[in-house]
Amino acid sequence: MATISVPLGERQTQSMPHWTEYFRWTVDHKIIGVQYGVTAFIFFLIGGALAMLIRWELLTPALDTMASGTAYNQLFTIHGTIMIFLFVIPMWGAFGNYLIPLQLGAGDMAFPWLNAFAFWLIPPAGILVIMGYFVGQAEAGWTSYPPLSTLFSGDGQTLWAMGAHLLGISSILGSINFLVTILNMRPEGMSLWKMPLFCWAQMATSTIAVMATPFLAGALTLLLLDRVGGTSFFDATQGGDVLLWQNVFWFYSHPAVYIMILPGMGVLSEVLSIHSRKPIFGYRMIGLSSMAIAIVGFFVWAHHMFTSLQPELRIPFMITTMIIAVPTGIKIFSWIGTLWGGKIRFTSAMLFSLGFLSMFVIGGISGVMLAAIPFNYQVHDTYFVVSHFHFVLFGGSVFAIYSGLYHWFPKVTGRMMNETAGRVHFVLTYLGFFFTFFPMHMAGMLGMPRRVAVYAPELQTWNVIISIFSFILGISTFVFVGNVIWSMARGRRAGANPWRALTLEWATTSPPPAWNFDEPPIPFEDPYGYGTEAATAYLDAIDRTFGVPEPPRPNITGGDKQDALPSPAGD
Amino acid sequence: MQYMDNYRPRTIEEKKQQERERAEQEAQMRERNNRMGLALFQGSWIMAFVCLALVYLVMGAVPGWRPAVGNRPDALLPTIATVILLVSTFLARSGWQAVTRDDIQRFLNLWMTAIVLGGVFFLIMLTQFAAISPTETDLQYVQLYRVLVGYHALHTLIIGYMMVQVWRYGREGRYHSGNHWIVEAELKLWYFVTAAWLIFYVVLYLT
Amino acid sequence: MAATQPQQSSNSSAFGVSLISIIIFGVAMVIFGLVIGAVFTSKILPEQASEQAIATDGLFQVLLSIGAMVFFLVQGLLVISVIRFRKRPNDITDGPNIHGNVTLEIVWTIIPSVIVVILAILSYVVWQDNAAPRAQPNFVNGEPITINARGQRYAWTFEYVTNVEVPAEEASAVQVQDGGEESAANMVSFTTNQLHTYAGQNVELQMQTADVIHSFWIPAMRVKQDLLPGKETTIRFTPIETEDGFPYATLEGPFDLLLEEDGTRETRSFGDAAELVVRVIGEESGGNLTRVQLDTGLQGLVDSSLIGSTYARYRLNCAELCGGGHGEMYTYLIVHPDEETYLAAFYDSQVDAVLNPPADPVLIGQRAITNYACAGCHTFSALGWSGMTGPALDGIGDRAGDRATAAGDSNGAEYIIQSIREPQAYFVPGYDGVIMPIHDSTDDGTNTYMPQSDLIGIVAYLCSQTASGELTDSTCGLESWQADGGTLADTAAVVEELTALSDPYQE
Repeated sequence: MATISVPLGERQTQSMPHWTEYFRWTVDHKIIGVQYGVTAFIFFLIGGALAMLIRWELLTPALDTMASGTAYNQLFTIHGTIMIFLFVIPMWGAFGNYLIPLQLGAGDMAFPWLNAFAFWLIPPAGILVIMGYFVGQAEAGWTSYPPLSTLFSGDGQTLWAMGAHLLGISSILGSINFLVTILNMRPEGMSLWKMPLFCWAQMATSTIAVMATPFLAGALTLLLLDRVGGTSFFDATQGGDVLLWQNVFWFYSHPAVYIMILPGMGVLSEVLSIHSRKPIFGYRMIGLSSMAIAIVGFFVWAHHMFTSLQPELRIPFMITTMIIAVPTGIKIFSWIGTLWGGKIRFTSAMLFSLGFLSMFVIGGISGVMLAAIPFNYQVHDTYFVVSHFHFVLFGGSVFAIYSGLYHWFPKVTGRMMNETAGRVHFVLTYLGFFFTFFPMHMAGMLGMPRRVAVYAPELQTWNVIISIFSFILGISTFVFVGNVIWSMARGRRAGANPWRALTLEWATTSPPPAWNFDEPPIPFEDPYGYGTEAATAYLDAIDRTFGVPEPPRPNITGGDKQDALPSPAGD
Repeated sequence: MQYMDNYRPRTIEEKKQQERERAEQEAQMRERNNRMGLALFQGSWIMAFVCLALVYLVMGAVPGWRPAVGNRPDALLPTIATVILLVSTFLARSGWQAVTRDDIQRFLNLWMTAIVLGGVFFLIMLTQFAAISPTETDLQYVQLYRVLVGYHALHTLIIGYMMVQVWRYGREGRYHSGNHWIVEAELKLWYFVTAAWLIFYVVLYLT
Repeated sequence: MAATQPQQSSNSSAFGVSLISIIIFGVAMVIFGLVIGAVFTSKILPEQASEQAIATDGLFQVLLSIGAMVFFLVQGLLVISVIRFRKRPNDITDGPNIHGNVTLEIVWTIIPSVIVVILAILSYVVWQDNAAPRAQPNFVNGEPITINARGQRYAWTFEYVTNVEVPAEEASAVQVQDGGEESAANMVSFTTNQLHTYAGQNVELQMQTADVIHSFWIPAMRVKQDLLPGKETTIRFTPIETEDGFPYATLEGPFDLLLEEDGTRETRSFGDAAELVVRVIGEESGGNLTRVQLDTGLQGLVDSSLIGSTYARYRLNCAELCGGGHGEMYTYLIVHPDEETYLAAFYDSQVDAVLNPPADPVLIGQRAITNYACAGCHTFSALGWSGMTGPALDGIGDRAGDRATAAGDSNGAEYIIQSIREPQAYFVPGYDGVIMPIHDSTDDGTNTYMPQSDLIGIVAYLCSQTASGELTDSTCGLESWQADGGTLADTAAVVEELTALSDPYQE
């Protein structure tokens, strides 16, 4: 048996691009990916700070921290808009940009210029949305229901709509790019059924984005015309119809929920398989269920309107909403099937993926509960719903984002992240998250509407618990930020393939050169074919070519424990 | 083993051969990418028109929302405009085919005719935009009618301007049988204008 | 090579699971689900105060039980996996090369499908039952009345169109509130800020909004329905008696309350006009005293004779974001024990007040002010309002004179008239730009309609609101404002003077 003794391959000296590159117009998908990621994370911090203010206000049942109810409304409006349009969606843009060409063994995206253009739409759009906060009175929530958002709000609402419009266009352009890259630029030998599941997830996501986002554009066009063009589509006194907005908006925004969660499911499929050293269980079913969710997701939108829709139309949407639980269930069971019998390594990436599994299932259960119309009457527009979508979007998307960041950080920077800090981060996030959002179910059922600064005094105990844990959750973010900064400077050299993964992004140096691959890489016959001799041989060949990770340095404070790492073969 | 073969050192000859093959493959791929990307964009953005058409149909389903049949805008001029747009599209297509045969003069003539016909379409629809004015009972109808016509006119204007640019570049002799992707792309955008209009024409005048 | 693994074998032994352990796990899962469902359903939901709530809670218990089973299944398998299949130290091998198991995949597609189909059918049955119109809606005295709920930023008002006809000779004299509907014009109607009903009444509300979308939600009833601009929506529920019974009572002044705070006792005296809602805990000292709890949570003792008829009280929220005062847009649903109490404590006196209006404008105003949505934005302790969007009305009678000087009005009464008819003419410091609806004198459907008679009463009532409670402390500056004991000496003169002041503000 050949033992690998080269600690670092010759090509291991590749370093990240100079930092100024990240502030320039560039067409390198890896730099754009990092630009997306860092921008999105900055917006995450801003949105998170707003959430902390919201929780601070809700420590007491009266209005005290904020100057007025309107000021409070602006907080959660901007919080929601930032988290959805400026954090989660662009963050998946970051992962897609960085990883899709690498996973497909391509040199760049299909349309590098368009890629850069789609990114550079985001900062001005973000500025527009945040300016809406200062101009005042974008206070109708991220859903912006008229007539509150048309007749009763200030100019901030116009800026909000313009920002959302730009972000929609950015999302469409980015998605077209992903789709073309995935469909056209796969290497020889990689059929759709041999593609990494992250690419499958991005394909489903992009399909939704290109089909649904134009509906947001249509809706926002009408809203803007109502605000500044003198029309009255949503003004009932002039014969307009307020439900029109709700229908068109949710026709986009419900699929948008899947835009936010499907790539996370893709990340999970990668991380769970790699870190438990076992092939993904039911590859085809996971890929197909992504597409099933994408398609059924177009027919559930009116479940957001069970209390406003004509009663006879409510039932069909209840049925479709319940059906969509089935493909989600398939995924969850397939992931457990993947873990079962594996050799689970508790790396930070794996911990966050396991956290996703255990938290997302709660969001799924409450989702089915919400679909039951009689129960929905009790909890619609309450903290139960707030809890539900945070279990999906934080317990789901954000956990998957953290998992993906820990998993691919070595590829992006060439250095490993600090595992000890990663575990501290996980524990704080997991507990902070659960105890922030689980009690919200109870608060909602007992009578707390969402989007209020003033609530019934008997609900104060629940709210104080929620707020305290939310502060812990907020603090946990800084553990991550600190870890990133420390690891960039002092992290262990990662080598090309620290996790010994079979997908192609690991078959080049970390970070990859500007042209990604020196030679067109040959994909392994099965992206998740762990546990075979052929796979071991393939991984050994990659190690021989690119070198293995630097061994752990136990003397460094907070250094990695040998145990947490996937050991290089043959030691 | 094949994976190891992939990473073995190569001779200079082999490398050059490889470079050539790669360049050729990349050119082909770029072409495929362009076609697919444009098709996806068309399929995506047409959804905005579908959205507005659906809004119109859903609102129109309410009895009394639309004026009685006799009081609606006359379909005659829009029908003529639609035919003109279809002819324009057909001519533009012939023009593109002429480029692929290196018949540049024919391309320029056909393309310019297509632009002029497009302009006629635009002007006719402009008169239609202004032809109706809201009354007490059909305010919503008129507003939405104008949004639909205006939204389409905006796209016609932008893509029409791009048609003109393509014509000017064509006069400079940029396009020939080996380089006509831009013409093809512009033609497809003109298809888009036509398809979007056909959707609106059907919902506005034929329902 | 150490990484070589035994090749895949897809029989169940490869999963290392015996039939016994599956059965044990399954039984534990079912028991867990049933126990969670049985124990927590009632704990995490508010009181079950309507027939609809019983059906909804039954459905929720099923959902919670199944949800808890799924939770147990997934978390259980996760915990078992991470413990049993954790990487052992120095083990660098890969897991078995298993790609799937068709039987398992079919099973976990079919079973969830069956479950959601069952849940959908069950939900449909409950929904149909709950939403269906009931017999004898809104029956009072054996006949139906109409109740119109109206949402306005940020208050609820409830218009009762009764089945009592306005006597013909008085028809022209009686002011029908909100005369939007002509058919209602010959029936007595009145408006309140709280919704009153009695246990067993099949309530059916016709709901409309004056501005944005609101949503009518009573958590204890488990019902919710949006109020949509340009549409009329309906909501139905049937209150029932709960385990708590009817614990609330209204104490009417004058009375003394022996307040207990931090172990000390202190007597608080309340004046004539005071009304205080308390929760009755129980009788003490042989029945002479009754222990009551205030909304603030403090407890106190009052004379048992003060406790009149009791009722149940439930919070009624707005659940759809409607602007800055969204959280303050709540009121209460009052459920009287039976129709008799409902008539005695609420309905009859309201009808009587319409048929035989008092001569004293202060008393007219006290009733009329609740016809409007003032409670949504103004704090006014006398009526239990807590709105924060606009300036407080407590002690407005003391401040009106100074404000009149600042606003350039002739006297305090005119200032109040102007504040209602032309709210944007002057902003109280700290409330710049807060848009109060215009209350104009013509019922043309544009602004909120407030007839002169209501306006005069409301101004007189607000003028009487002084911190001391003494009418004579009012700074409204009316010449005819003279007190005779606790009431106005010459009501007709006050009305006349106020009419003269408010005439210029008519449209």
